[in-house]
Amino acid sequence: MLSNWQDVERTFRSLERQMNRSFFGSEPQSTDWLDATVTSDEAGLNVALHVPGVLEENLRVTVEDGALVVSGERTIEVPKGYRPRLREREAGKFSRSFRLSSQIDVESVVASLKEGVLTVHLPKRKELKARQVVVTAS
Amino acid sequence: MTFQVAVGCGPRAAGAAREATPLVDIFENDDEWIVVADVPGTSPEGVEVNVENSRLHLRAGDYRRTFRVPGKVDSDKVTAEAKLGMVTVHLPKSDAAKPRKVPVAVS
Repeated sequence: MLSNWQDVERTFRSLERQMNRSFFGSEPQSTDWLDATVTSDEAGLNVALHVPGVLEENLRVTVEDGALVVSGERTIEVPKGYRPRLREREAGKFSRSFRLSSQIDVESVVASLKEGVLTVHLPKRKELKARQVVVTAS
Repeated sequence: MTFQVAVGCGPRAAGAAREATPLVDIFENDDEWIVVADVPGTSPEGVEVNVENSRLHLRAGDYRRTFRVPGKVDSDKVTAEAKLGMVTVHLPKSDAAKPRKVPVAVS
């Protein structure tokens, strides 16, 4: 093919995708691009989820039945008058869920979206936080 | 105490790996190529685009990828913008890479 774009270092990923296409016929729904990192500290849990190109109004974050669920939709349009040469980015509906321990204060969960990363902070319930007891000498 | 768990299996899931390969879409018309890359967490200041010898070098935060462009790029006119964790690069074709319309003489 004349106008083939070549990844100079690796073609593995697109190869893998091509294989998926030919094995499954249609593209299987994939959440590969929704990379997540969960960190935990004294204050609670922090979940960072990659959602590049997803608008705030197309994101839904819920905490119910002991799980944090992030769902949404990403639309990718081919610019008008352009021909696609390489398609690796996934479009469509997605959902990811994270099981939570009962220690989370569900009412205090906050989420923010910045530069394609959704950050959800899930604080621990207050009574579960370790409290330092002051020892007084008599 | 802080610990990290890599939950996904995407480009960054390896945890320790600092460099990742972004997923891209590439579009073309007669005048230019457009490369759209997913680079979540990267601010516009962290984006670096270089075109040299028909190679596009894209660096955005921890994301890095190099492509060979199938044609000549007018490298002075390359533009890039970053928003919503995506980088969009416009690569205008140099005249040699544009399809040439052959005039048909009417006799």
